[in-house]
Amino acid sequence: MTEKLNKLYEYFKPVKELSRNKQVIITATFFSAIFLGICIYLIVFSFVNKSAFIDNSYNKQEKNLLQNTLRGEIVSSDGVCLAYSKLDESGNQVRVYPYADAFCHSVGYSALDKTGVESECNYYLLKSGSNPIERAKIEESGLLPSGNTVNTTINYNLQMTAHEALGDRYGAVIVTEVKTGRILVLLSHPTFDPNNIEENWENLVKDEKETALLNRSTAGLYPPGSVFKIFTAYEFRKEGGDVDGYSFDCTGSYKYDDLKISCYHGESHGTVDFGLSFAKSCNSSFANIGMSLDEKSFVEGLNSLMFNESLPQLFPTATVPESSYDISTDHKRMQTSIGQGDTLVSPYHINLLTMAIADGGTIMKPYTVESCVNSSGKVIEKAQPSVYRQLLDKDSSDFLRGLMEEVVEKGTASSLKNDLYTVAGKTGSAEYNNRGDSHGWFTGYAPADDPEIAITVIVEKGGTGSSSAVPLAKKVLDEYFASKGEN
Amino acid sequence: MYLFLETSNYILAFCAFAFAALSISGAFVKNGTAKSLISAFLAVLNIIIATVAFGHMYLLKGKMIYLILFGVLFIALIMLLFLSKAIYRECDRLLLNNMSMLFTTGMIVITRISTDRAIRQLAIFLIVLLACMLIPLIIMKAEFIKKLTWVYAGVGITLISSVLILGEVINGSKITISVLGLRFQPSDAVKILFIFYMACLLWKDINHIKVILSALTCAAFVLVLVMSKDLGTALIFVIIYIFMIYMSTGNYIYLILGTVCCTGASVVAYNLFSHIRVRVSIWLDPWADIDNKGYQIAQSLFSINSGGLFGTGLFKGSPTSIPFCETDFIFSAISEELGLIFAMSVILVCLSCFAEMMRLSFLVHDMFYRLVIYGIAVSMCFQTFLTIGGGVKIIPLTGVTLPLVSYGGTSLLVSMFMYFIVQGIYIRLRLQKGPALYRFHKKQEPQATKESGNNINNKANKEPLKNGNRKSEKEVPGKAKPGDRKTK
Repeated sequence: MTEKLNKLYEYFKPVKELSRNKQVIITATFFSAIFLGICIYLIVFSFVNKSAFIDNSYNKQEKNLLQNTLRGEIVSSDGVCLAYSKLDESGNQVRVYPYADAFCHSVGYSALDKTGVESECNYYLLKSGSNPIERAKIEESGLLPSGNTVNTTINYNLQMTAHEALGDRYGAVIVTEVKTGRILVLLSHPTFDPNNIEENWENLVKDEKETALLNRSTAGLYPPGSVFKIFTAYEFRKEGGDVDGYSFDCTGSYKYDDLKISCYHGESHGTVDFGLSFAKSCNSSFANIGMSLDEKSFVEGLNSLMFNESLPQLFPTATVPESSYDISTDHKRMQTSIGQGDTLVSPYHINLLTMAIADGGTIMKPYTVESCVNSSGKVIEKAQPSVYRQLLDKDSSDFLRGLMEEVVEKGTASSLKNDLYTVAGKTGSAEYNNRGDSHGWFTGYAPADDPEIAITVIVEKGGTGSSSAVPLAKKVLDEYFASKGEN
Repeated sequence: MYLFLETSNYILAFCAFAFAALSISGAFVKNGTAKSLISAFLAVLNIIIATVAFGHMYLLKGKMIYLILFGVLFIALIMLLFLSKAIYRECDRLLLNNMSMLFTTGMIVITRISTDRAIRQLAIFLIVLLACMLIPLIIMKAEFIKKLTWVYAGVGITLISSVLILGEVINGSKITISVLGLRFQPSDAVKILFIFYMACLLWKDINHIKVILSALTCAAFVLVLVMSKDLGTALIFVIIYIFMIYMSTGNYIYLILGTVCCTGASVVAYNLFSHIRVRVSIWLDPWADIDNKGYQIAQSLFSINSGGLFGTGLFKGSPTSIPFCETDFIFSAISEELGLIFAMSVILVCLSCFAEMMRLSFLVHDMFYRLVIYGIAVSMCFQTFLTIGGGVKIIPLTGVTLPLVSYGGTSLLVSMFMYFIVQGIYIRLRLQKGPALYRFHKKQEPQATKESGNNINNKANKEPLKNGNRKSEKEVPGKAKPGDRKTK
């Protein structure tokens, strides 16, 4: 015991006589390490949060920057200026959107709140990447140096074509490049004018009927209608369903117990194989297919296709809850498998799926900002295409491509057949009330043999997909291939 | 003119960085000529920084006051750099240069925030500077300061207790007291008293009774400070205590024991005092209550973040949106308008001061003075860490100032006193050791001079010679690394 105490005492023994220099060195090292640590932390901290803090409404940095910098321009991929700033008589900056409402959801707005590209690139638009000597020159001439220019992937021609084609109707159009993920068109109707959003803000927020502020292309949720048959077909094949030997005799409706599913307007399709059921969008046949699906596997399958999860965040997006595609009862099962159940999807979601089908199952991460360049043309930031996810295996995507080609070849989208380019896709007519009124859907890709773009169109209350969405898609595709031919 | 306004920030960042780099290297250079060359460079850089920054402010605002302030600041810097050198030929020029750089930085930011405060700060600086000229004299002549152990403790505890009872409540803390219309924050000054108390108690010898005795005294100080909600200063006291005990015992167990006790006490204090819990919760998530309690730290983070490497330029940021920007958050203001490079240079200059003080405590053989320098160095260094770390959200906010940079009379006075106490000890050492110390720098130590040097300063702690031929019997062989380092 005493020994132990002695030992303990030894530990705490003040040992003044021993080298004091060691203490000094240890203390110096300790505090130097702390100081250098702070320095490193500072650099990392400000690098990581470089553009993150500027959007906080409590941060006055943006206001300060706007006093010395003219907010930068936003330019379309074909070189058209979509947004710029100018000084008014009293020296305040005014944001101008020359095409008013055509780009209101993609480019967004910067007053009050910020959305779209205006929000995504806020930091770069506010910062001037030019060197101090250039800035001094500009200031000397009494002007404000302008912020960096943001080049978007949005194509002015295509967007305007879609905008005009949709006209007064409500709906949404998304066109993406399947091999890069660049978004060429992002349109949502109804629109609003970002030029005077501040004056109209109250009305826009209050108005629950039009909901113009809602970006329908990414955050709008619609019943998928026959477009959903892509999922059903995928699921049938995945569960080992006999695709090649499948045959169904369509009489215009399908009965199971006392439940009845009718084909569109009661049309009878005769004897159809799997491809033709898909191409003709035969509800009876797909209700029949739906009856053979396994409940658990169906939910799992949809979960793997980005249901019940958030989509790659770019704009406000919508998530589909799992409860909406539960097929525990026969009625739900039949309705859901033809896209008339409780399931709702966003055009963005369908477009991502189309991208995957067109590109061997891979989804490239969608983006709208190509690059940020400073006033002397030096590129400051450049987007690099990246893979978002391998959604499908190659076999499945080939199978679905075959089905979608047949839709254009001899099915509901045959009006897209032409000599200039090939298309593949799927139409949908999503009934949204009991009277049989429907939203028109089309999703597809072109060219069919070597896909470049994926296009998704929804026209609210447009009737059938073939009559509303397909013609619109045709106009956009015509424009795309026409301008491609010019180059 | 526009060219100057646009490029001044880059000039400032470059000069500050050059200053910091030179100043750090200056702390390690032994050669006399190189040292004075570095000093001259530092002085020039310092003047350039002041000229560019004040020139920028004058050109931008066009008010005479900026030129006048610059003129007075210029005189003050000259006084600091040359008057002290003229009076005390032996003073440490590196420390003087660092002081003037830190003060210049502070003046730039304070002037940008409020010219009235800048005038006040500059006036205090000039008065305190004159008073400080006496400190080295006192240190040199007055031996009795070694014997006033309990006087220091008594006066210290009386001062902070009187504040606790009589002080005004400002921003929830009771730490200021008004005397003749002047606000004074005694807890800052009591730090010096505490360091002297510790040095007095520990310099001759050390035993367990003294360790416990000083621990109790420290606890009394800390308790009063925590009750007046002066958490930062309380923490500084604890750190001073732990490190000074470590210094005098040389036993790292005390370092560990101190840290453990400190952590334990923090946990207890966290549960006892609601204002500590509030501080910690703000630190963990300032965004949750950004409207109210988290506002200050959030604004500080915005500030640090918006400057980038070279800063927004003076008057182009909004450091004033941080409450108490010129005192507790001056570092954030520096990072925003002068840039991260400048801000980091300030950290490095503080580090250089610390390194220089450590080097001096290395040289001083008298345990009392060594402990005083060591205590001052630790206290300043830790205070710098608290204020910067709080501003960048590494640690909870404690509300202490950045020595010499922050606005505030007491803070400025105490920091200057501390620097001049160190100067005084160094001057005393050089006068006593005379040629011996000089040889030290020259890397030549003829036997005779060395001996005489040791005889003069013949305290209980003899430094063995570097060639080891006079190794004292007390030294445990192998453990002692006699003075190699300083001669390398």
